[in-house]
Amino acid sequence: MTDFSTSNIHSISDLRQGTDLKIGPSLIGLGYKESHLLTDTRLALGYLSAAFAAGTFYIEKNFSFKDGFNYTAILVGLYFLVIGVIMLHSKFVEKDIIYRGSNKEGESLEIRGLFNKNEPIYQLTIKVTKKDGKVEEIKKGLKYTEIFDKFGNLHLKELQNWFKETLASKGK
Amino acid sequence: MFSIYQRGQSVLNFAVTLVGFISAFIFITSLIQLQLTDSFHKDSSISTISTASSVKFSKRFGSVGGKAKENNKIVFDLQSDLTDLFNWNTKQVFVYLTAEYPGKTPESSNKVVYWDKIITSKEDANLTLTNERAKYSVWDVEESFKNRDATLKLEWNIQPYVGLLTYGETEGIGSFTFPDVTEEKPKSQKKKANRRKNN
Amino acid sequence: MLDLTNVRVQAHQALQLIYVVTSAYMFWKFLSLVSNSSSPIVVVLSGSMEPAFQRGDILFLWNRDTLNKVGDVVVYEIKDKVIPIVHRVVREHHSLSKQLLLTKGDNNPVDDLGLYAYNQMYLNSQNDLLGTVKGYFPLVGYVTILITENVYFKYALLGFMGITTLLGNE
Repeated sequence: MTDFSTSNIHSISDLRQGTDLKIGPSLIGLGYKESHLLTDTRLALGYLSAAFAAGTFYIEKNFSFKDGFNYTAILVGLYFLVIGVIMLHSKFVEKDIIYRGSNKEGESLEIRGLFNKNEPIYQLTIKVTKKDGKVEEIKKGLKYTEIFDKFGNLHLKELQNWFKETLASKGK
Repeated sequence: MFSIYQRGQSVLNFAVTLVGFISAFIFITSLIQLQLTDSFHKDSSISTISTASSVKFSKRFGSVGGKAKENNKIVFDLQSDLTDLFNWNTKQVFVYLTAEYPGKTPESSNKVVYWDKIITSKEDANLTLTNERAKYSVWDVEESFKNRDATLKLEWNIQPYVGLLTYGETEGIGSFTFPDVTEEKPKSQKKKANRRKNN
Repeated sequence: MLDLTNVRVQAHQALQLIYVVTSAYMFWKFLSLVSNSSSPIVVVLSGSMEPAFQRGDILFLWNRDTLNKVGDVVVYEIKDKVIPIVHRVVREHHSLSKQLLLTKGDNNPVDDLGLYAYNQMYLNSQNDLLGTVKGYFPLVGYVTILITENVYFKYALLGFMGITTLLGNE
């Protein structure tokens, strides 16, 4: 596969972001389809907050300060309410989840990632839920050196192999 | 480049926080200093030497449409030591002599400034004025002051280098009654108007 | 099926930029609601209050006082004049229903009658004020003076902001 994503190899946070982007595509090859519900919720809430800000700007341009005061108060209130919901959502619902998906056999995956600023290893926790509800957790560190080359290119094939091996090791 | 950007941002954040804390510290210590020197209860003595009213017809003296407007001026003595208002956060002290007098109804009231001064150094903060003439010719919203009684006070405002503007007044109280209009020769009235223009 | 992954990534990046703009704007609006002033922070543009306020100093306004006092520094707007003026109240006349103010710049020899609208003798504290000056911070407002009065500085700043947003995608 010639699908590269280039990251700055001197920035752990950049490598992590590069990895996050490619987890979904790499798992497609293993038969898993990503569920975007969490991302879409965050995006929808984000653009909703932007709409309230736009509304406030419209009020400012078309009403005097006194006439628009109550509308502005409502819109500003709604804006900060939505921002609050976004923060709660990312703290308590999204947490550190970077992937959710399932395959045709009804097996679902949830991958959470922790990273240490000074360590070039992505600590992943993979939760596998079988169709019958049996849950299994695999904790494994993904070394960035395994999937990135020295130019900062991420090799999808390597990432896919890493997941293949890791998922195969379950149940042992 | 990425890490330079990130470093720059965290340095900026740190600088802003630091400046905020330093500003708050400077302002709060200056307030404590004012309390310790009892600056909100400074003594002063104010006495009115004379007061005179005249009738003006120019817009510069509050007249609308050439209608007669009573103007008042006072001559006063003033003593007050405001040296303690100067601390490390004082950029300037603005002192002003106010006269408060009642309005038409019990709920209404008026306050006007007769004299003020910008003080920028500690050395100039010990005020002793004798036979000082009012800086401003004062008129009322109504046509005449109608012989009402006025109370004089010396008030101050500290302009800080950073922080909140601080206000206070001195303890001394002066008083006078607005007099009847004294007939003024047209000549001297003209002279005064000219002098004002030259300013 | 249509792959929306790239759309999501781009929508997410655009959102980060939107957050920067809207959060600053909405915080400003919040301050404006709390202080009841359409412009809760102003930059001093003239020298008429020197040495108290110099060009570029920033002032924090509050517009919820029911009555203004003589000695207060207020920011007011005159009908049909664009730039608000920062001057001190030297006279106040109030009744139950309204308060009239006369203002003057500390550094000016005469009061503001010449600055008011034609035949206007006083400011009405309810309608004409943007607020009363409560807090002061020196100099930092000079950036906005540079932006509004110096074209090159404006473009340099815009360019710099553009570059930094492109480079830092976090």
